[in-house]
Amino acid sequence: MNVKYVIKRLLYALVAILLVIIIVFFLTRIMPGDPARMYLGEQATDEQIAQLNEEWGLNKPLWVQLFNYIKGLTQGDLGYSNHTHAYVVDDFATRLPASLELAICALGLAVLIGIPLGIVSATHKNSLIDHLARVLSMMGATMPVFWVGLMLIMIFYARLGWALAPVGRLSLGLTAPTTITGLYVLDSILTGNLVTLKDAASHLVLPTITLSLPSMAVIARMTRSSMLEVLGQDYIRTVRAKGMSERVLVYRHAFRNALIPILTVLGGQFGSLMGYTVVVETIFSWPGIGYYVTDSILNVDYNPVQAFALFSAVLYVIINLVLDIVNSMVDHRVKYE
Amino acid sequence: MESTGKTTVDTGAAAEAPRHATSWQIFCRNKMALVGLAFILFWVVIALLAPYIAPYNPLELNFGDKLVPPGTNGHWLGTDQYGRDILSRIMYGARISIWCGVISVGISLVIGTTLGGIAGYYGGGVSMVIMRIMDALSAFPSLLLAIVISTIIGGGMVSAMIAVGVVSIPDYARLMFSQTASIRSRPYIEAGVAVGLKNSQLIYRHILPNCMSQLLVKATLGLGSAILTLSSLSFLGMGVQPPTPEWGNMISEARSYIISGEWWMATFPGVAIVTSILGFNLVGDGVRDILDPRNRSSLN
Repeated sequence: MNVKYVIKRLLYALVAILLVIIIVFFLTRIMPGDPARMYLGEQATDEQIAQLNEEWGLNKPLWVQLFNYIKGLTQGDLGYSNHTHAYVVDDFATRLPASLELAICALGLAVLIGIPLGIVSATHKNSLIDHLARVLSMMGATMPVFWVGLMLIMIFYARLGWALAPVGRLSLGLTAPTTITGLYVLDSILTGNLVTLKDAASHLVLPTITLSLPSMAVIARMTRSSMLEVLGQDYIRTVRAKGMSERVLVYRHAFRNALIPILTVLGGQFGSLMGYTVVVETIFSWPGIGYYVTDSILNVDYNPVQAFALFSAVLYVIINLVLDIVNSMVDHRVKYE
Repeated sequence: MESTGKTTVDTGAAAEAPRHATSWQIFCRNKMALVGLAFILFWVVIALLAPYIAPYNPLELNFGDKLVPPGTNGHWLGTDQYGRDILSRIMYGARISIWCGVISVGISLVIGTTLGGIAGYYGGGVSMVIMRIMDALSAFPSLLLAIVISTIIGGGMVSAMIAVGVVSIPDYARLMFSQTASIRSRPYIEAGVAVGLKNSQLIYRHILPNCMSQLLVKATLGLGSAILTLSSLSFLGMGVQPPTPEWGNMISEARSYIISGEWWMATFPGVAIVTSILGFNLVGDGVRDILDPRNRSSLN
């Protein structure tokens, strides 16, 4: 492992996180409307507003405010939500498991289908399955998730009646399993509650498919091109000339080397997944952070929106940092440019 | 085991290719790119001619004909809950989507290219500051950042265009940065410096033209994703506001009718979004294949 590289990469990540925070801070400050007035309502007197501004430190110089903002963030202060009348960080905590469950399933499905599809597509280039895979990845990249979600509801719920009502995580009348992880499917398994397990899993199907499609498309596409690149290398020809079986060649030799670009793409997919969560949760009334964000927009309550943007950007930087370091351990040629 | 070459171009066509195929000839050999071009031309023509070919006024309410299925009373694609003609609304929606897309891409292209060019040309601390800010901006999920920026500017069509434009600035800045940084050290630029050309002249007259083709590909692909993000914003109620016909807000309005059986309200605007984005993506890929020297050498 290249220690110098890791330290440099860590420093860059810290700078990126600091810049992300500064960007969000300035975005909140140029927001129209006076936060104190919004908090106190229309009837508030000028004195009351001035007092609250004093209390919140909004009359201090900008750099002091920035410092206080960062200090607040380190203590988990993401602001107050005016429409749920709770702290954003508490709202996040109650909604995070729902989003996490959906995101894990979606990313899992995208990997489980995207990678094998990309491999087969590369080993059988220009075959029917290759063309089908390319059409699928093209469609996944062009179909808006909100439209895909609505079409799935229309076909599988309204027309065929195969899916459960696309509202929330459980059918009406069922109570959530005892909270252990907050992921309903996992909690139902842990508590041995088969009824909620079946219901929770069924509710997950359509939103998972919807959310996974764009990532699946990118992963399949990247796997295909990365595999083609590796399969064209000289050492693969050597391995093949030595009479290695095609299966061992593809999975042990080619796929391992093709994995680095795929991992990098996975890190990038995390970001778009967070963005699409907002849309998918809205369509399926999924009680996660994404739904909370659109709900906040409709209620002209911007703290949760900024908090979510900040949260996903920081997580994105961290995930990519980890991926880069893992890459540098796997591949010694990786250097910071 | 079949061919494992790196090229993505059909090798069958390569055999017939003349030795010195022009870019246009190479492009024409890529069937998918031609399909994409057809989609783009289709939507551009619809957008330009919408006032002349749309069968109805897209805003005209007609409660006598509300929610009629496709093919009823001269409404080829049916009507919505106010009796407005879906086909006419889609046609007028094309104007909005393409126009907004072009402006958004224009914003990110101009700002991104300038920032990336400055960073790549001057290097050092300037590039450090600019490119780190670009890194931080691209850490935000684009749809989410677009939502935040759009709310700050106040929502509506103009805000959405600006938001989508700002979100893509890092893409163009990165491309321009890497291009400029590599061109910067070439002899003809050194010669330009020796002759006493101004920095701005070097950047705009000598470096920018050499990056044009790459920027063109990026912008074509960018138009597709701009249309996608804009429609998502409108769907969430942050972009183009009803009653103005826009594909995203048409689908948003159709949400309440998905389960009751009025399938045409959401389906057709979606098809419009998919085909227009597909057009820009296919053409962008086709042009990139032409510019990629690996593909080119395999053809010639």
